[in-house]
Amino acid sequence: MSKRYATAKHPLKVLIRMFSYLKYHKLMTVIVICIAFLNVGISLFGTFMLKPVIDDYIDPALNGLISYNQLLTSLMTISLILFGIYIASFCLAVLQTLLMIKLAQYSVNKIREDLFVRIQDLPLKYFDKVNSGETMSSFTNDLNLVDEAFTNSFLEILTSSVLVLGILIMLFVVNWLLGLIVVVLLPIMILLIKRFIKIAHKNFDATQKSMGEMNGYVEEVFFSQKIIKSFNKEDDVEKEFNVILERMTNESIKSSFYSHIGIPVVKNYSTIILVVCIIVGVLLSSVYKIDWLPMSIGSLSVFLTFINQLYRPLNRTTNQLNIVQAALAGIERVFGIIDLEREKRSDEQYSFKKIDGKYYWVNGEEKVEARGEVIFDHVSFGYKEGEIVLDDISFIAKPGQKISLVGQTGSGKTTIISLLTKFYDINSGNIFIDGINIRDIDYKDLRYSISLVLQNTDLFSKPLIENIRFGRLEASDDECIESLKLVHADKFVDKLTNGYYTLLNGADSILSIGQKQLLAIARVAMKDSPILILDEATSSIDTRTEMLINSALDKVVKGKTFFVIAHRLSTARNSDLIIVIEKGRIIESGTNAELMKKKGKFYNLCLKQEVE
Amino acid sequence: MKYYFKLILRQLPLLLLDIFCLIVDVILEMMQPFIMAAVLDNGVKKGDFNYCLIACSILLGMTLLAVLFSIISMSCSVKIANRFCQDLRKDLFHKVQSLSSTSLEKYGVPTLLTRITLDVNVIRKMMTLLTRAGLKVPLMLIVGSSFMFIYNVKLALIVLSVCIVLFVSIILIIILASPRFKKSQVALDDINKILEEDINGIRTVKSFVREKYEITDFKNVNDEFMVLNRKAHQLASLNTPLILFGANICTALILWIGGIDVINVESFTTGKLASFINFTTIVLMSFNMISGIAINMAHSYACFLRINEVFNESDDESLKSFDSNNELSVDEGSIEFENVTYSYSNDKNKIALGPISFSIKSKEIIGIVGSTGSGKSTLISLLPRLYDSSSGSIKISNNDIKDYDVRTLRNNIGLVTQKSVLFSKSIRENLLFGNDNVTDKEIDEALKIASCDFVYSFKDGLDTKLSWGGLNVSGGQRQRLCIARALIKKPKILILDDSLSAVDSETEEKIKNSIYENKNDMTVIIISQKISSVKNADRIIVLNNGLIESIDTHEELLKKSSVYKEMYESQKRLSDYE
Repeated sequence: MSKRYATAKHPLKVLIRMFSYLKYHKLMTVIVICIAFLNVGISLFGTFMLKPVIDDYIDPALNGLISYNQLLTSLMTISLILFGIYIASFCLAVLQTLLMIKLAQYSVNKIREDLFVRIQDLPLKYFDKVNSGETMSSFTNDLNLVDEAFTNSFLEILTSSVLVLGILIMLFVVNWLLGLIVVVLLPIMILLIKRFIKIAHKNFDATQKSMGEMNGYVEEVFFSQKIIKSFNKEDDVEKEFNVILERMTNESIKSSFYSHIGIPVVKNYSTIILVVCIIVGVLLSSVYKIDWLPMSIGSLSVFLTFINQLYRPLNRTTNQLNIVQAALAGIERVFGIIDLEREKRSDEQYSFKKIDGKYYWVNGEEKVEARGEVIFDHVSFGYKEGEIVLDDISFIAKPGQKISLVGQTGSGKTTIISLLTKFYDINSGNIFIDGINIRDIDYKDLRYSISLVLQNTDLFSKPLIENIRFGRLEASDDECIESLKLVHADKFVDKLTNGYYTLLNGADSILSIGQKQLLAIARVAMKDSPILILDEATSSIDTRTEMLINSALDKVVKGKTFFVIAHRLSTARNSDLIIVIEKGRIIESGTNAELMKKKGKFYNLCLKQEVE
Repeated sequence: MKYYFKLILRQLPLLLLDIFCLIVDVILEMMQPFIMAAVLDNGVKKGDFNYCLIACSILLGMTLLAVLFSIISMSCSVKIANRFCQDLRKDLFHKVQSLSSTSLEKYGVPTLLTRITLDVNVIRKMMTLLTRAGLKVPLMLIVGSSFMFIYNVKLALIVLSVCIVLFVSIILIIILASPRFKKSQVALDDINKILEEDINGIRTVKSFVREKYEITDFKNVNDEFMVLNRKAHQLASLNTPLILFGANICTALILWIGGIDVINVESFTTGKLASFINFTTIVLMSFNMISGIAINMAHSYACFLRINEVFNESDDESLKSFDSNNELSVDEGSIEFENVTYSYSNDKNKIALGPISFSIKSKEIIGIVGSTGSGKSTLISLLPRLYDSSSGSIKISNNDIKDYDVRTLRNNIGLVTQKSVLFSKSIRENLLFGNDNVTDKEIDEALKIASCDFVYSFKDGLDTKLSWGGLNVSGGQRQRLCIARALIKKPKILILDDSLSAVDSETEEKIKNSIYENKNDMTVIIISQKISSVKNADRIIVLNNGLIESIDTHEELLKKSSVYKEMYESQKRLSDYE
């Protein structure tokens, strides 16, 4: 797993791009921000009211400057005004919250969607390099952080900052000298906060790493339960887990401690500011008798109340800043994936179309019949710089032929297929289908024309019949069932809990490898393409069933070009053309009879397999 | 529920310290408005500078103490929350390992993984919150209310009523929000499932050009999650504006009525009024913490349910046989099946295997062949009790397998599964899985028999670390290592379930012969698709559609079994070349 860092490399750029997702709902965003500001204003106003109430009404009443009735009336009026304002504020606040959440969810939804869409277009190179767990992590962990940031953090930071600003202004309004003192002392608080954030971050990476370790271990163990049980290793495995868990817990404790330690310190710091203000205030007004400084009880009360209200938004901002930082790091990763290079689409576009029941390669006015002829012309390829996996491969597959690729594991058979389907691009040479260079065919049209049965069957967590329909989306239930009958899969499907509609549960389904491959073949039988490729798919199915499948396939591949990556020679024998590959080169090719006469590599391989 | 209490009680000393520190912290915090009131009334109003100085020093001292106690309590709460979750994870891990294969398949690994990682994380956050804010808030309410009542009963009652209303609404909101959170969590699971399959199955998606289809599928669950998540959060977040509203209304009321009281009541000064408002703010704002806790609990509750679901699963039947006093040992590898059936679902009519009856003598070499789905893997999984039969009895060494301590049973059965499973450790550690008390010589022997000489061609040899998913060794090499691992165990019964499919025929022959020559007292069962693999077995079991079609030697089967003959002929036919 690559290092998951705590801070983004280009936070500002990422932040702006993140906010750009709000552009889909401009009006809502504006409304939310306006309401937020309004509410901040109201809240400050309410607190401020303390001053006039005390100074202009209560105190004078105490001192007999205004009558009791006047006081009553004034108090009632003010209170009613306040009630009204607060009710309005409540409604606005509710509206703000509802809208903010809606906005946040829209945005995260869109980002998640963009990420998924982009992943569909990434070249296979990406999937071979990056393990699936990490890609998944971007969707789950990273976007979780982004969700939190959008839902809570942004607005919180915005309103808190405005609140702090508002409070500072109020402080000045009430008593400018004391306000000055606050402004001088405040930066220290901010510095303190920053320091604590830094300390928290140092521990973040370590925690992430050990969490990843725990995740990885648990995944491995849970997937391997059968083996663990049959070797009676449950206890040992558990002991090992507990060690990893202990390590992770210790990291987590440290990390949590450091991320929370700021709160009590910061909160009590405001008391220190308070104390200084009182001392200075009393000093100035009583000792030095500076009369032009307003030091009424009312104003002091307001002042003190405001100061007490300072630390809360500051703390909130700090907390949210932590979240935003993590979110920015997360979304930087997400954008990193979205910005990756997609599979290349061709300029010269030949598209694959069905006209009057036959398939054609169409480019504007030009129409070439798609018969399934494949020509490899001096093709060379390596996955990495300087690596040679395929060396000068040339062969001609005529339409309707059955071609077997034979060779040891790692000789290059699967690579040939990957090049034919444009999962990778060739380094040199050409590949022609029906006379057209596949460079001029868009990869999507190319794949429409080729049916592939892979080693990993990749069945999805859907009803069994939906997995078959994957081959041709417009097919009816009956057609899918027909296909299953064709490959003789219907017998075991009947035994399942819901028959054809049984929900397959992804990787852990109760089907055996052989059964899954039968389904994969049924799926591919639905697709009607001029070229069919089988990649070692039948190696875990018994010979008897394989025979049945072969005869079914014979019906399906009539008139189509059929490539088989043969792991067993029995499969290869029955082909029109056998290509023997060793270390990326073709060492022999021909019919079964020709190769037998040659008494070369193929002949020797056959002898070895024959144990009479 | 009792279980969680037990977990918390384990942290009792820390919990008590936490509470103590919080009490001190709260009292110190609550004293501040008092002192403030005194400062305002006696210091500021009367211009008494010395008074102010003394009062402020006291204030400062209290503040420093408050910081200290706060830090201690915070460190306690962090420890409590993390240790709680550590214990939870330990127990959950243990539970998952105790589940039967059927239960495991029912859940699937991804959701179990999520539950032990993410769901427990959510609970950790909740515990941190509970052990800090969760304890502080009631304390603040108690202390704060007491002070308020001392100051002015009438006003205190106003505040109290507002508090009660707020409290009730918060509870209501939790109750309504909780099911919503659960729904959104399920939707999230759906997203992850589609994601995982799409990413892992991207080759299939691309080769069928189904990108748009996948995107549509994804959009549907993505949009559904958005709506559900939004609804859950929107409801839960109503608390904050509600509390603010309550606090504001309260303040206005106090201003009004309190203001009047200042005039009417001698002892109630403006200083005290300001103080009271301060208290009110403290008390009511603590409801913010309550609501934060409430929202968190709504979310956590859903996670609790998911975790409890796993805990409530019944253990694997075979665990009941754990008994260190059970001295029954597997003396030899004879096997007897009597009317054994197995069905996948609880529907007894859908029998996948059986009724099956046969017996295998000790030290026999038995081959099992049959078409895909005929039940071969299921059959042999019954032997080490990875699955339990639905009916009938299975005996090994003349004892019903249920009579053994299942650990003894499994120690004597070496299973090599169809899919090779190795761990991301060194090759040596993987091999020692079979038996940690083997000598290097014994390891060498096993490697030799299983044709694993390639290990010595690796730079680090036996200490080469394998990666999860096994990308650094080929399929055939993995299979061979798994065979070596089983051999190291020196089991009475060795089962090779199609374990040589990725290996070329020459190597396969070599390994088989090696095993036969070195098998000593082992009964060997080979499941294969190829007649050539089982040809030399003492007897061969032919399975067809979950039933035994015939059991006999290769020669006899060619005469008697139509299924076997067909398989043989098909293989033979393909090999004609003259």
